[in-house]
Amino acid sequence: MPEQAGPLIRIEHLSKIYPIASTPRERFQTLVALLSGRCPPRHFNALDDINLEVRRGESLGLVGVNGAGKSTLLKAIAGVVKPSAGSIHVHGRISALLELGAGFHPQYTGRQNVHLATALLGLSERETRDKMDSILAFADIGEHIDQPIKHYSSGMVVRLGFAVATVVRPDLLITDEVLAVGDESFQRKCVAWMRRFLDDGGTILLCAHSMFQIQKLCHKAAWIHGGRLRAYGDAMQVTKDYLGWHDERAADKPAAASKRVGGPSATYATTALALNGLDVDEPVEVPMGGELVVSGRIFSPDGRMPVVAIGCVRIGGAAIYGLSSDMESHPLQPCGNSEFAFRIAFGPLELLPGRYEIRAHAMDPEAVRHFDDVIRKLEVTGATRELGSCRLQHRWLAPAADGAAESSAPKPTPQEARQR
Amino acid sequence: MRPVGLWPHRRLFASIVRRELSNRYVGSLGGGLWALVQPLLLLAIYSFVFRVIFGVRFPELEQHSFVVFVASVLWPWMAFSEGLQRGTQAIAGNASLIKKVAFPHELLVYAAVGATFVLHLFGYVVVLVGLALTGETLHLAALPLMLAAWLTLFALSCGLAFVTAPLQVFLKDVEHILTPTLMVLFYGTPILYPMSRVPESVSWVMQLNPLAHILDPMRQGLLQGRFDNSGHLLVALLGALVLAWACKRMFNRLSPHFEDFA
Repeated sequence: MPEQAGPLIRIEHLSKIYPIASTPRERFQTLVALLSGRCPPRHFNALDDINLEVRRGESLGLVGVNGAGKSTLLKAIAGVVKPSAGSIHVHGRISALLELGAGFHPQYTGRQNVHLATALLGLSERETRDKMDSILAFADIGEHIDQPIKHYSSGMVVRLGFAVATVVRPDLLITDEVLAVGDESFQRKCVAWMRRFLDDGGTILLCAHSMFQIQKLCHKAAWIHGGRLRAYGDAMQVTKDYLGWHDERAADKPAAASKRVGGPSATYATTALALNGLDVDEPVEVPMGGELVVSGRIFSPDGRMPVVAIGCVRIGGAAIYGLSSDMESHPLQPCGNSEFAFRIAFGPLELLPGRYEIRAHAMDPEAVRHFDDVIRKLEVTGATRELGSCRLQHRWLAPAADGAAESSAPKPTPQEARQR
Repeated sequence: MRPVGLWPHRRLFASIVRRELSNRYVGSLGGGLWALVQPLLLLAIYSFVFRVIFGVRFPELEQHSFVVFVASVLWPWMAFSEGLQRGTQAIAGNASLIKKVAFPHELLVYAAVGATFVLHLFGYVVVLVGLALTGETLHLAALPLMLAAWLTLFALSCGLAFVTAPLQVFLKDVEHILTPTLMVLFYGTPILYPMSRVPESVSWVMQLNPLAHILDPMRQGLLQGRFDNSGHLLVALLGALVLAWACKRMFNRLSPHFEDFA
């Protein structure tokens, strides 16, 4: 992807007005107004004076309640919606996945549909022929490719749709909550493709209700509210503010005064996290078989007791163990300032020598959403020739006398066998 | 009407046309042959009713049969009227595409009208060759004239569709107006009769019908090798192009709102 000065997308004073017309009579009046260049009699502002820039490699997530205008903004950038006022400048190749399989015709075979879909994406006949194999490999729907789409399961249709989308190498990928589709293994394929796309310097513009996805994939976030840009900035901060706003709204009616003790963030947050008492960025060393005490504090914006989730992962991301305080109904200790303390000991530590991460997440009292991801590094020291990440409890047994390898457990007595 | 602006979309256009064509006959055994059946059947009915039952005979036929007289303009008429009808539905019928993908919407109109013209032009050639083989004399010198006439009809069909297609998006009344209008127009156009048979008292009204100035010269040229009113066709061609251009402007004005209303 060539380096280019200036932003990938520059949006200036973008507004979009949608006429409201439900009856044929109103539709007629709207038609007359549009033809004569006047403003339709009834309308609403789907987007109102949006100013935004998306830079190369700086993926942007859109958040906002349903009907806030997120999809309209995505469609406007994709070129499907024409702005009523303002301008959108795009420098680079955009690929919009507003709907996987858009334009697929049920009567045609998968292969025929791929041809039209790639034409819509702007690929030439030759490029399509060259990429057909990789599309088929990605979709992995086997012989069904030469069957009419109407015989496909909905999962197969989206697989094919996503496969088509993967062949173009856009500078900017616009997607409207279609990141992970199909069954588990295909979802992994989608996520892996997405990650590779981002690693290769691709930029995505996504609209999602999962704050986690946005925090994971985007650098910046824009909060659209009532067609206006309400906040723009660091993805973490904007998503936190957005969630905080939701909490505020939910708690608005009862005890509006008692909540919000203040603090930098208005959501649940891990404010401190220490390993064996050390709240530092450097790895904390613990010998194998030693004890690890994880302690910290969770901020609660509304004074209700939060839940903490603690996990241990290997460097590289393989999860080893995780739990949350609600699983064992362990209450956190209030410690003033709307904060709640926790302290948990692991040990003797059965982790094999190597580098690990201890992660803590602040969660709401319902333990439904997690709000942050605070990480401390752990270095387990020691020497052993065992393999893997952690030691499993084990003992060597004498082989059974009759030599039956499978019956290592004591055989049930005849009485026990009858009782079963 | 900016073909240069559409050049980058040529492959998309080709795909849409191909799909337009196969959409109509996908899943049918006869395929494109069905495009030939309807006009052939019409031709058979008219011949039976007018020639066999009414015993219609007029000097303008000269040595030609009534069949070739009607056939020479029936296919062009079918292309025009069916093209307009298909073009009218081109936007409303592709709402799912318009809502999800960005592309020039006029491609849909060109494709719907174009596909219809391709089918009927093909049928026309087949029928004319067939008639020539049965001994009808056709004048090959009329070839440029024929091409000009087809082009005029295409421009006219597209132009009108540029108005009806957006209107159809907003008001479903359009298709209900269009069908009877085309029926009246069919009998008001010299297809089953020559212009010269129309009485003086009503012929001035019929002169207002541009189709009369396209189809009549076409038939005269092809059947009689006479080109004395080819000038009319040239005027009609220019008029159709101007009309298409003007209608396209109206289309452009409404095009941004298709996504919302389709």
